[in-house]
Amino acid sequence: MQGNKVESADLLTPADEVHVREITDNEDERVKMSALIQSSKMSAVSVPNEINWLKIQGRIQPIIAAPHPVKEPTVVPFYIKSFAVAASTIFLAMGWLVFSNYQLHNQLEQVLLTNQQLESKLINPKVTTYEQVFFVQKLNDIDKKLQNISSLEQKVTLLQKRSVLILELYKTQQGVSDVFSI
Amino acid sequence: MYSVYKSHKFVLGLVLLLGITTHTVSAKECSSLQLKQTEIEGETYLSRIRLSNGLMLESEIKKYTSGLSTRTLRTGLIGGDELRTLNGSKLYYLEPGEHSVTVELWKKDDLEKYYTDFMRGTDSPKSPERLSTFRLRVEDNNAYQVVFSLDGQVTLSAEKSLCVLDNNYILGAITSKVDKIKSSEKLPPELEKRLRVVMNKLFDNVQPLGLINSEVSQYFGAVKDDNYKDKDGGVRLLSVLPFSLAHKLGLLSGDVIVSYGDPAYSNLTELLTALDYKKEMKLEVLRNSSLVALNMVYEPVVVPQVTYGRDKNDIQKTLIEGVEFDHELQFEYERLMLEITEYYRNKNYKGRLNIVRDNTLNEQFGLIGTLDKISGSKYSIVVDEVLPHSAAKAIGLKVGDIIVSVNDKVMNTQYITHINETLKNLAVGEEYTIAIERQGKSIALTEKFTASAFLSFNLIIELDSVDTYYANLASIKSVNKDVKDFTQLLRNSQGNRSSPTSSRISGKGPSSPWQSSNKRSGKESKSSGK
Repeated sequence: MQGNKVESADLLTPADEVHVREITDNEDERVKMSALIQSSKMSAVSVPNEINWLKIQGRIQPIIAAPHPVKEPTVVPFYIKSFAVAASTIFLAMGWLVFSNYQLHNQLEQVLLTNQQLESKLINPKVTTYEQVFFVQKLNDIDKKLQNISSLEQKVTLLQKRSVLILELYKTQQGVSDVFSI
Repeated sequence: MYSVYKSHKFVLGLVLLLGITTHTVSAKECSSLQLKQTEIEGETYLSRIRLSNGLMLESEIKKYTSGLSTRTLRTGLIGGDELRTLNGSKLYYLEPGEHSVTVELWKKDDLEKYYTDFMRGTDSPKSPERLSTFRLRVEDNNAYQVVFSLDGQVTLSAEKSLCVLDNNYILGAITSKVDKIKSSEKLPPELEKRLRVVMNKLFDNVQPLGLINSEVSQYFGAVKDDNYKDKDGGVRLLSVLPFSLAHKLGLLSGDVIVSYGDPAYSNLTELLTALDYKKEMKLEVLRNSSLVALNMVYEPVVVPQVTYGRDKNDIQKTLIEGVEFDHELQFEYERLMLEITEYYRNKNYKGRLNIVRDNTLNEQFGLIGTLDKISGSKYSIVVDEVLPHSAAKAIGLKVGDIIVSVNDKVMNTQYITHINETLKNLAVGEEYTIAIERQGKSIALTEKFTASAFLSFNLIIELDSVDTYYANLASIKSVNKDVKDFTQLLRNSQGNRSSPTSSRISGKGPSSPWQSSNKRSGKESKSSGK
């Protein structure tokens, strides 16, 4: 608390100054405090005279006013630009392909699982009904198409169609199919 | 695969196949068959018999060398005299009865080149132009002459001629069973309905009289994922056809086959072709990260030989040509015949089965449709199939049409349950209207009602085709112990049921169990009984 007050010498009251002078338990502290107070009273802001100030201004002004050097734009050859664009495009395309392939693989796994669950519910009938043969025939057609394609996207599409057909086949076995013969 | 067919052991197998079915033939009970050389647009064509039931072959003594051993055999077609038989200067002999014959039609130059390649032991690029199948009803002492055309037509002429044979020089073949026809009892309603629909389709879309040869269905019922990579060499299944052999075994979509029950087999083709009839088939699959063991008793499906016509007179005609139909009808037909055969065999029927049906009314309107909810209580029916000889066909409905109303009655929740009754209860000659949407256009179809009909037919099913197949398979296996692919081998030796297109004849490779039914013809052209 004392120190804080001493840092602001102008705020010391005469009573404070007397108190500082009368400190006796720590002679070193007292001397330092007294010197600090004295110093604060004596120090003043030194201002350069007019001539020196003008000289300083004269040195700074050209630096501030001088235009910054403008770098000449580098001319990039067309083939490099093309290469850069192509590389970026390829990079983006590769990224997109990897991502979409990953998605398609996930979809394939998902549809295979769905079909697996549906197939496991089918009961092998003693006598196949006309409607059931209708669906098995359509499933057989999809099987044929599956054998002749290699595109992952097409496989997923066909297998999704297959899911719908197996579901309908299952429904015929449950007697709740939307397909009927009249 | 082709080298299998060229092996002498296979030749011996076929000789034995003919030999074991040899039976005594009386010289007084025979007829002769002559395959005539044909000229088509300046090109000479020869016909070669590939499969016959009841056909006898004139034999000769011939020596065969296989490895270090030389055997002396009585041979028929296998002999070097084949070309003389093919060009018509020599005769085949037939016992009285019914015979199914499958022949290959070759360009003469191609066939000679094929033989030359065969004798040199090299693969021949030559193949027949087409196959033809026919059923021949043979009477005593007749000389039959047969001419084939490239479009599959068979022309037959016959004249009375004394047939004299020396039994010591005749090889028999599978005997015909003309006298063992039994009338069938009624089928279960669903099978009956399917049979009648299929017969309508055969009459409508194929031909009114025909022979459909026996065939071994090699389709296992699964499609493998060729893009699937597994460090352990597992095979992932993309699909398993419901009610197929694969499905009966317990396979499901997404399964990864990791083991074939025996380290000797590295794939399903090897396993299936090596398995004996009614032997246990074992597989291990990875399903959702768990190992699952599957097994069943393996029975390849044999579709029986069938002859059909509209009535008894049709069936008794001397010549009935083989038929060919699209894969959709073939699939429907095969499933039906397999189920009918199983049904009657379970009831201890054997031999030849005769199913006869009269013209009858089909109580149904004649379509398969899918109920489609439009909005609220409004429905429509999407037409999936229109049956032949039905009222649905008569009014002009087509697959893909959307039925919106019948006689101005909109398809709502109440009406949809009564539509069948409405259509069934129309009086013959009564005018009715069906409003449809076809390719985005609204159309009103109006017609005087004619009831749907099931056409009469006379059908003969050879229930013993299954036994014949396994007997033949066993006999060939017994002399071809080092040959693996017996099923394929036998199927090819049996020829084809129909007169296939050239693309089938020049199939790109042997069948595999993965392939679907329309690809089963395989490398037929190189599978003759040489």
